[in-house]
Amino acid sequence: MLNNKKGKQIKAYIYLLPAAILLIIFLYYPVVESIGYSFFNFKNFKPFEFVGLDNYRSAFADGLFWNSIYLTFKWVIMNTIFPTFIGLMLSILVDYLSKIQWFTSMSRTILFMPMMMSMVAVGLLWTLIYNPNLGLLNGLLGVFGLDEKFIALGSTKTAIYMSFIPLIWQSSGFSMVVCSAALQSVSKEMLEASLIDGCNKFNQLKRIMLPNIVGAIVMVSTVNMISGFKAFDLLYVLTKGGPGAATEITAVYAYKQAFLAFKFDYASTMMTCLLICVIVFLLIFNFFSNKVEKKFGS
Amino acid sequence: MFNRKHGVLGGDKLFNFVGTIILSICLLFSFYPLIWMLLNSFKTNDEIFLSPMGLPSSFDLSVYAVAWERANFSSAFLSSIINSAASVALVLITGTLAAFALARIKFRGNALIVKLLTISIIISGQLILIPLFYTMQRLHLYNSLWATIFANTAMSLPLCIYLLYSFFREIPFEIEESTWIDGCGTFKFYYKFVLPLSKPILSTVIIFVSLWTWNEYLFALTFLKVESIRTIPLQLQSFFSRYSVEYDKLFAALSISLLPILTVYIILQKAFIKGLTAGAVKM
Repeated sequence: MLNNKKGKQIKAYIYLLPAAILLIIFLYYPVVESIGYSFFNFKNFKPFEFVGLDNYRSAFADGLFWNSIYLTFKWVIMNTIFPTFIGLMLSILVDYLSKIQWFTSMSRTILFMPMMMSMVAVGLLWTLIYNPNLGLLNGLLGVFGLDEKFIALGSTKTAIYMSFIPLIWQSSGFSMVVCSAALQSVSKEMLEASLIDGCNKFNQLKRIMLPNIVGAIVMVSTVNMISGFKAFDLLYVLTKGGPGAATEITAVYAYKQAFLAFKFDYASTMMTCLLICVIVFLLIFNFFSNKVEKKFGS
Repeated sequence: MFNRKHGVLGGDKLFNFVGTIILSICLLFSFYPLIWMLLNSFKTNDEIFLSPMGLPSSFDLSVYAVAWERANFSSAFLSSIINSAASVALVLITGTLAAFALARIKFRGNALIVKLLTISIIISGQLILIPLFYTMQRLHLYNSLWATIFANTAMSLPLCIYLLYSFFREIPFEIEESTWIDGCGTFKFYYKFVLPLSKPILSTVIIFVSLWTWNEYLFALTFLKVESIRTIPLQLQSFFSRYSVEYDKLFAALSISLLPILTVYIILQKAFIKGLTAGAVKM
């Protein structure tokens, strides 16, 4: 058996090789390269000379960059809170309240359905919904007697919130399903015992269900947070960062700088800054979520 | 906890009633936009303007044919299918092998690799986009479906390997031992025992990767510049910007792009819901 050990180890490396080649060429090396590009000046689409921290200096002096970072964080925080909270609420409604089996399963099917759609399709569908001449939104406002045309994505103040609504529409179903799974795993004995003790549904929810699914909630919000940092498609399709720079999160701003203005060096710098933000944000989030989980002991 | 007092909401009945109303509103909010899209796709442009929320006067499918033709959906569907199928195949082959090595063989660096893979989940497509753009040109993959296939594979491998790894690790050691007695090698153990035992997680990976690549936009937008190889999201978007006022066709094109995936979802909904959430639950 001992003789076998070395051969087995070599085999392990051979099995890892195909995946490793793909990951190194198309994932890890590009990450390193991207960070490297941020220290270079580009000329004719090629890294030209090492400029140290110059790109970072110009990024920090760029108001639009700070605006994009601010919007990114706003987006991430909204994405961490709202789909998670709404998903939790939906899971309670779907799994806990309704006793009718077909209604429960139909609700789940419908609420999860938008998850199948690409962000592009979601964005395009919502441009039609928001369309002031034929859209659903203005039709709905008309029902309430507001006949004035409302241009949902027109105002610099509210555009970011209006662009976030499609995301809630699309991704709440995901949080719902994860929370449902957690709710279903709460022990039936405990619930029955509480019923015998005269506990009503509301108290049952507050005292037994919620403390038991804190772990799931923290996990869902972490996933939502990471996907918030990855946001690009929806905003690029809906607003392309406009009006002005009101919805120009860092990913959109960097994409425009790279592939419309051809400033590859500057775009790499911004994406590197964003990567650092993600890591710092995750560490802080992890620290607090561990505390919350410990407090509830789940 | 022994008092039989009913809570602040005055008992379960009110709680159930309010809950059902809220849920119905949510269902309407969730489902109506899709119904609205489908209904409007059958209307003429004038009808859409006159009554955007009304029912169509006839179910005329000719607008679908026009939209299909103009958006070049035949080639878009073909590209999307090739893109997804090849990515899934690559992830399955390389991912299961790597996960098998990580889960069943002890070697130096094992734990470190697993850790690296879990951290890699935070890498976003935009971060690696510019270097990838150069890499694809250097490897002469730019403007071919291979570019998106490789990029998608690399992006989904970390999570998929991790999912497979967690599953493979749970396969009882006794099974592996019994295969040694039969003189079965490591590789035979992998494809004769591990793979057949792992059908649930394999279907999860297949669903996750195929849906992700089917809907992927950023890499396709950057690497596929020739019209004949563009995937569905790209074609849809360029159709929307080219025919931005022919609303009947826009609704039809959107419906065409969504109906296949939604149909598959309704047939296989349990597998889809599980496939898409399993990734998160395991993290």
